[in-house]
Amino acid sequence: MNAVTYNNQTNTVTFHLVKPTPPQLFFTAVADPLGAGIVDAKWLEQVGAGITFTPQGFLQYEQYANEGSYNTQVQNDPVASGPYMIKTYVPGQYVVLVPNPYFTGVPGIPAPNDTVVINWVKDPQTAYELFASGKADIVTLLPTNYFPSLKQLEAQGQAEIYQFPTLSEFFFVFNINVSQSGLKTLGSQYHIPSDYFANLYVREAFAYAFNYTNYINNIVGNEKYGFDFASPYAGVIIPGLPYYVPPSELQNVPTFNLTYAKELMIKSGMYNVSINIPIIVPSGDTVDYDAAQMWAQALNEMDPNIQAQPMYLPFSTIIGLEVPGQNPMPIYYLGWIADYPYPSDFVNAMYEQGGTYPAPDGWSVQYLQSLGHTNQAQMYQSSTR
Amino acid sequence: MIQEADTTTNSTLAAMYYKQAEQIAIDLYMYVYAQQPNAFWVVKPYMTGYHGQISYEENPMIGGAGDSLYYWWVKG
Repeated sequence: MNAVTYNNQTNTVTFHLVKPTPPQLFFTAVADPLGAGIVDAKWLEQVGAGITFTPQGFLQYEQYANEGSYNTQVQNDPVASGPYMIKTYVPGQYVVLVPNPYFTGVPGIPAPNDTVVINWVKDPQTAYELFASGKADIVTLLPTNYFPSLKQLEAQGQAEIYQFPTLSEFFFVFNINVSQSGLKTLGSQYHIPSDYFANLYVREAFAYAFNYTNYINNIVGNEKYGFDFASPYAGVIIPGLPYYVPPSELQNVPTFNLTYAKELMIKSGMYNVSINIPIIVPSGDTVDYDAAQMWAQALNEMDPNIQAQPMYLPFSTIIGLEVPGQNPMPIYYLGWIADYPYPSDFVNAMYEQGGTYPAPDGWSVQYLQSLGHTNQAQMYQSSTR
Repeated sequence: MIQEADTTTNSTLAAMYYKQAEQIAIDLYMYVYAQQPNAFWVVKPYMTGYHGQISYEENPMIGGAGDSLYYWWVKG
């Protein structure tokens, strides 16, 4: 049990790895600001979340990472050491941060002397109005259709806009094993065979019915608003990550082609199968609500027996519905934000069996085999094994 | 394949495995890839970054660049 050793004379910490690991992967993993918070070991022991320094002890400690198994004191009331501390927290409404009196500053991170108030508001318009009226200093996550108003504020000297790239991506997800009973709780009018999207040709047809160019240019609004809001992409390893593969070097990347989509739908054997489904979008995301609407119209044009409507659900509800084997959402819009800048963070979550998305969306070799989708099962197994 | 890509120390092999994994996922049409967003901070003109460096708030490792660090915002 000498995985991590330290030397106070040389002021160094040494990690002893059990097997060779790419340096870039190791350094980015330990630098992960979302998952590498250092907490006092003695305090963890006091609240019942200590680590027993044995192999079995570490395995047991990993159980705290499972949803539902969190140590609630560590989850909700940790001892922190940063510049601010929480004075008031009303979930979903606001949090008030005040300076931590025990934090006196370190190089590059000054001790603050101000109070930060973060408000979660009910909709983008409320957020915009708080900012425009001067009641808020910063506003985030406004949909792109607010851009003309923001540019106007900027021209009047009432706002500054700074643009920068992100290491995040967003996509529509197919659930290949839809919970029938769960779907009815979203709306009694909804119906779809649970394995509708387990059919490869159906997913392919839907992918070819999405107008990617119109989405970026006019719905997200790159062309409409003359601003580079987003880029199209294909494959989860996006620009900015090592081992990025440009779409031009990949085969079968879908483009908008309704004629071909209809051919695929007929080939699937599911043409004329009546479905009525919601396309679920996080509440407040007016841009992707419009995108879902565009897609739904195209799908109906492709096959008049497909009825789809965009539906808002709170982000937290969508996450809550992503239960393996019980997910009622046939199609939903979410994404991935880098935990660390290495492909494994993305590929494992979006592709691997048991991953963040494949698990609640029905992706398992066994399930595909049970449906007789032998080819798909083999393809998926070759990737995920 | 994914696990091999994640763990190999040979960058040529890693590139090959990751590309194959991407190709299989696309061939399976697991997702409809929509957008890789750029982000933008919208702040009042009196808000600046620490040491005048708003770029501190553009670190893609902080929520993919969608989150900010409060102690690096300066008001006034």
